Amino acid sequence: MLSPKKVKFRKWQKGRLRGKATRGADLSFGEIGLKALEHGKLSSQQIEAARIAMMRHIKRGGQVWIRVFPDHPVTAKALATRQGSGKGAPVGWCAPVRPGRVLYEIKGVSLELAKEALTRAAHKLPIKTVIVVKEGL
Amino acid sequence: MSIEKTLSVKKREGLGKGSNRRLRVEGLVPGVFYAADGKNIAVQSETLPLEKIYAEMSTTGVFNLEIEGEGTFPAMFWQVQKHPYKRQFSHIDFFGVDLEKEIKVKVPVEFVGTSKGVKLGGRLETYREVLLLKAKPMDMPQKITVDISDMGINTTIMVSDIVLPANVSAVYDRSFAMVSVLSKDKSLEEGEPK
Repeated sequence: MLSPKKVKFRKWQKGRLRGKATRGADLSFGEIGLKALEHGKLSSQQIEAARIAMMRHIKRGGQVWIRVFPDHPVTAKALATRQGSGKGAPVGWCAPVRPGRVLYEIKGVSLELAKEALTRAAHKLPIKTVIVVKEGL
Repeated sequence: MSIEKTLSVKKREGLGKGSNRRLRVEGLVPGVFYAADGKNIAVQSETLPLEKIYAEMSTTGVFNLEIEGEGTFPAMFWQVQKHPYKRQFSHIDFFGVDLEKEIKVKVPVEFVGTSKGVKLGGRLETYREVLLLKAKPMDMPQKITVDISDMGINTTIMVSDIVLPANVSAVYDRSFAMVSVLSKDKSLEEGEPK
């Protein structure tokens, strides 16, 4: 699963997701991609599950790009623990996503196959998405 | 060759994000026309005719821009800003061209055919999909077509090898690779993502 190799701080403040994506909002590598329509935090497990669903459908050939990286630490307190006593322990990583962000791109397979693969990937994600195709295709 | 298409726009009174947002709510698209003589005119356009002419011309074609109360100018689409996920324009830059002066425009490159190398099991690697060309506005091609059917394994087409139309030249310091056919990569066979 994707995670940073080294971080300066183990625990971050959550922050709030506002506005729309200004960076990473266009297809840069592939011919077809999956674009977020909502704000959300994609966990590294969800990103990996979507990738596996996509790759299993494509089988052979083609290239896939993952355009988001889970570099934001997620913490949680243990079950049956009272509130207080500081922030919980790190349990994973997530990628904060704004509407318009391209999440995955595919190149080198037929558009029909890529669309089906991206639909399968979208089912693994917690946000609404749309399939976008490069202009002129 | 004469300019066939015309887009009619109006002069825009309000400037800034507040008035531009109000325009977008009304279904209009704000824009700026940069005239060839250095003058800037803020304009607004209807969405539908703008989308139609952009689909036809893209950023390489010349059309007449008719600005109400200012006149008609030969122009090109210079920069197009779109909404991050809705299929609508948010701002347009029109560039007033001098038909006698050369300009530099990024033109899409289309690779046609199936190369011999790919048929033998090679992998097609495309390095560039656009090419910076220098030409007079009316000579600027809509796209460059490159035939790759003769490419064998481990062959490369450089930018200097591409045959361009008359009066058109590519802008580059050192020739670079446009497309290659490589022998098959094992990591890609296993479906490893980049």
